[in-house]
Amino acid sequence: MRFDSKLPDDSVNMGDGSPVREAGLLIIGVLVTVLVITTALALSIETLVPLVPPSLEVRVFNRVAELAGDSNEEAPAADKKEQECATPDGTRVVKVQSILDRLATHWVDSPYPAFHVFILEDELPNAFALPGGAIGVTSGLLDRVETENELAFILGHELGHFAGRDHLRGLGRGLAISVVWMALGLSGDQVEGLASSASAFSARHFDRTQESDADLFSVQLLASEYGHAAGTRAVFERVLIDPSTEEADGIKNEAADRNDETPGNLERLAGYLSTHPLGEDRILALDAFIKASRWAADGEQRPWRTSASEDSLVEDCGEELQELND
Amino acid sequence: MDPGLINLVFVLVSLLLAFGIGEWIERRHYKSIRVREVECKHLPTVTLERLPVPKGWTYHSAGMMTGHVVISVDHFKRFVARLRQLFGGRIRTYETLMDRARREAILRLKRKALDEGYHAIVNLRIESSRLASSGRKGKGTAGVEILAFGTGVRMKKVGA
Amino acid sequence: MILSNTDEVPGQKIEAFYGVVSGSTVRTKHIGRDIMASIKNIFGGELKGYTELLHDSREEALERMVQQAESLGANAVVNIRFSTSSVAQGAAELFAYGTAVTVEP
Repeated sequence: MRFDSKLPDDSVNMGDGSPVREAGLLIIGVLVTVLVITTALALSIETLVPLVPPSLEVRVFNRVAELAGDSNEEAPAADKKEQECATPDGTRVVKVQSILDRLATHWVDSPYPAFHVFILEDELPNAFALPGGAIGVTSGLLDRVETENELAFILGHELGHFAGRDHLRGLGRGLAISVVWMALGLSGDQVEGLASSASAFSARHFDRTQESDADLFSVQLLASEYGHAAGTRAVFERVLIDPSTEEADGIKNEAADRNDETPGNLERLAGYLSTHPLGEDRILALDAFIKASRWAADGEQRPWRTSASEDSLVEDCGEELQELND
Repeated sequence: MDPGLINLVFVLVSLLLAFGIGEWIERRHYKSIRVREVECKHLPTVTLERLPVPKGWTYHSAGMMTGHVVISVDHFKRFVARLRQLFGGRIRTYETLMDRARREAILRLKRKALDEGYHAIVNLRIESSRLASSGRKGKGTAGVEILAFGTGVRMKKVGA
Repeated sequence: MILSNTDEVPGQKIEAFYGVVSGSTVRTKHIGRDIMASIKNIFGGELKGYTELLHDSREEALERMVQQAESLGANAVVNIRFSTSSVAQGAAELFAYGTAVTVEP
């Protein structure tokens, strides 16, 4: 018997191959799988959404809003009016609501009984359509619009989302995807970050066609209400530009300045990567549509800050409130 | 820039960083393990309960020894392992973790035995446990603990 | 290669000891199997996917241990032990270790 101490081959217990290569392959695998899953989900949502009648949507989401304790909805009309007049925002809500109401009358076959506006305190100019017929606009947006026509175009755009049932699509997609993630045990996981990036990316295709469709819908309402399509261009060139990135990220400004030229590669990339298609692409599509419909691209725009409709409304609220508003 | 893209870039950058540092630590650890394995090579270590005694020697004394270590894996390796779990197959990044953890634990056991003047280790046993999970929802792996234990034996010349 | 989980190979004499050899592997099943297993968990019964996983892993761990023993020039591994640990949820870590020896009849 002898003892012959030796060291065994120590590479046996380690798999070979580069971990980076493996990681790369796995990441690609996840991205492709997620793209396929989210695209399939989005497509099935596309076919399902038109089957949901708007009346059902309004009933369900108003009920949800009630359950969520939206006390404003339940307040008596008198209190509500008082509340609206008591703050500068209150009068603004009334103003925006009246513009929205006038626009909505031109949407003849609207399946929705009513739309109502609320204001969200936020610096960033933004607006969104919520299920049940609610349209949210940020205070930042209201500060930046200069004419009523510009605001009307944005409101019409959100109405266009209702017409396309886009808000339900977005909601349904988000819901379906999170259910799938949960079933796969991925929610709250480190992989979720990767997966959600991929699914957001794949959802863009659907979002972008929605944005352009909503633009065209909006300009139709605009033309019916004002007789021309003025103010649409300003929305892209001035109103929706994020003030914080105005200096740093010159892409949008540049696109606005050079709108006679075809967009450069960088702008195309930026346009492809963003939810809202490149402002310029949307302007071009709109201009073509306006031309084809023989509407005037320019015309007299109604002022936003001291419009006639505002005066009549503010009268109801008393003079001191008007001072407060100014 | 788009928040989804920023998120993706952030994920990739943090992975790359973790990979670089984690790889460096692992290489350094393996280097040190190999050096110390050669140093401790001469200590007979077996899983047998009894080691035949060389002629002219007899058992003198014995005592149980342990060596243990807790090692964690880097964010990159954990991430790759998590992805691997979606598709199935070999999780290479955890294999190296377990490998070096075990070798480290055995080395510590051997070192202790050598320091205390033992001539051999018999009945070597290796146990492992997972320290659950700093990771979200307890799915991550905080680290593995490896315990190596065995009985150190001293021998003496017959008649001494 | 003779494998045994006793101190010796019956009928043979240990000629030389080389030290401890080990083999380990970490493996996992794809997520579909995990989901099937969690459904099966409700009713109980054999989780075939995991049986297969552990079997394959154990075989591989043994095989790797044998490879190490071969690299030492041994012809037998005695007193083999297995140990399992869950390094991550749904993944199996199998570890086999024993003492590499040369035996002669």
